[in-house]
Amino acid sequence: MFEVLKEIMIDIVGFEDDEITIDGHLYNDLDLDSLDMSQILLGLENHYKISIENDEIKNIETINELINIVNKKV
Amino acid sequence: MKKRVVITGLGVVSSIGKNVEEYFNNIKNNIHGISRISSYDTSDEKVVLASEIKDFNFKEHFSRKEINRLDRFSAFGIIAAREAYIDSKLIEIDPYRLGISIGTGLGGVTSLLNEKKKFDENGMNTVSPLLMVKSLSNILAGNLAIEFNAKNSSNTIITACASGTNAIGEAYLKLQNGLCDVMIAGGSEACIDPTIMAGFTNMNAVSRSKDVNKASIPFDKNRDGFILGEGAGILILETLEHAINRNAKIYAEITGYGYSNDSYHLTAPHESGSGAKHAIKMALNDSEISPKDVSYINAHGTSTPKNDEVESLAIKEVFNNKVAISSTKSFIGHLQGAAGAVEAITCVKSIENNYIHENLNFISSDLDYGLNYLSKNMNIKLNYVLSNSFGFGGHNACLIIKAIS
Repeated sequence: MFEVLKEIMIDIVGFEDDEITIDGHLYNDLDLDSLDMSQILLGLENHYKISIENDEIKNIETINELINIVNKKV
Repeated sequence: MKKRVVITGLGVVSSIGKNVEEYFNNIKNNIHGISRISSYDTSDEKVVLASEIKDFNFKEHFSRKEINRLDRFSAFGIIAAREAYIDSKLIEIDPYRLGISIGTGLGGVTSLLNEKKKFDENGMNTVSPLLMVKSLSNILAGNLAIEFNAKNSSNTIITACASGTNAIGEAYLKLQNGLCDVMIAGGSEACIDPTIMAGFTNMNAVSRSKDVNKASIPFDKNRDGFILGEGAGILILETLEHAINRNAKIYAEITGYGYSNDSYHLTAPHESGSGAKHAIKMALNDSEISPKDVSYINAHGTSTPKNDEVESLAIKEVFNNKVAISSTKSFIGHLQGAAGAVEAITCVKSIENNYIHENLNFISSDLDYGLNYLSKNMNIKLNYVLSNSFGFGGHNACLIIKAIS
């Protein structure tokens, strides 16, 4: 799961490989904004054929937390 | 009392130069940027030539994440604006006194077309969430406002081929009236795409020539349409007092702006040239000069049969003399919404260098107005120059640029 997420963040959003760690903070470490998050969520939805609602991710702050949400759906 | 408006910074991205120095050196060396289209396959196309910016390394200017968010037109505009801003040596300004005025014809249309293709082929879930931030026509102005912390007005002017000139003119009006101190003004365009080209081709607007030296030939008897170009031109405009107070280098002054609409036809200019004439006269009146004071006209000169004829008629009726006329489109094709901006920069560099370029590859004209279409480059001390732009939709816009005194 982490590898898939990492691939989306690098290939689609444009992050660099060394910026992304499993316990990385989405906002403090990666300076993520709403456009980044939209691309990541769409990438995950398309890859896993799932749907992620805004309410489900509004309180998450780390990559690990995002992975946990996706894990529950897959 | 209206404030005087001067030009203190220049930036260009074009097919013959990725900065102002390279661009104008190539102009002086009679090097044009028209070549076979490389960005898509033209083997079955009626139109095979364009003025493309090739081998542009966006990674030199932007991070991967930034590149993802930028349409080509935004990227060109930002790069040109950075050059102009650095050139102006502007360091400190109240953000609420710094504004943006940008012209574009089609904005991020190629990003829109790319996403439409994805939608048609694979459905809505494949359309990028970045579609809007890449394709909105105002998004270059938005990008520049963030980049330069500009909090005054940040407007986008869309008047087709007159956009760049109108954008500079509207910035000039704001400065003249004291609504801000500095404006980042100009235009950007990047729409060399098979669908866009098909539209221009099927309306018989673009040249079908296969000879790069016989394609964009404004005022020549063999002209058969424009050559689509891409690029950006950005100028830093400021009030004279602001420029003097910070001891800025002043390139030239904008003394006149004229505009009109033909209110006649969506694409064809009015046969009398009345709209063009009105805009030219308005710019002359704004400058408080007479036609004889203008020593060079940087013409709209698209290389279409109709534009060049009607523009010539308008010039003949206003000037009735041997004022030197040339079109920068003979070098870089037609940059649409960026054309007027790059051409204004060409005028500024012409004044600075006491040099006006010829109509490259011009041989002879069928237009019997007795006008002086330059067939040779000229060394000449310039005082007032006129830059014309006319666009689909009937838009006409003219600027008078003056050597600084």
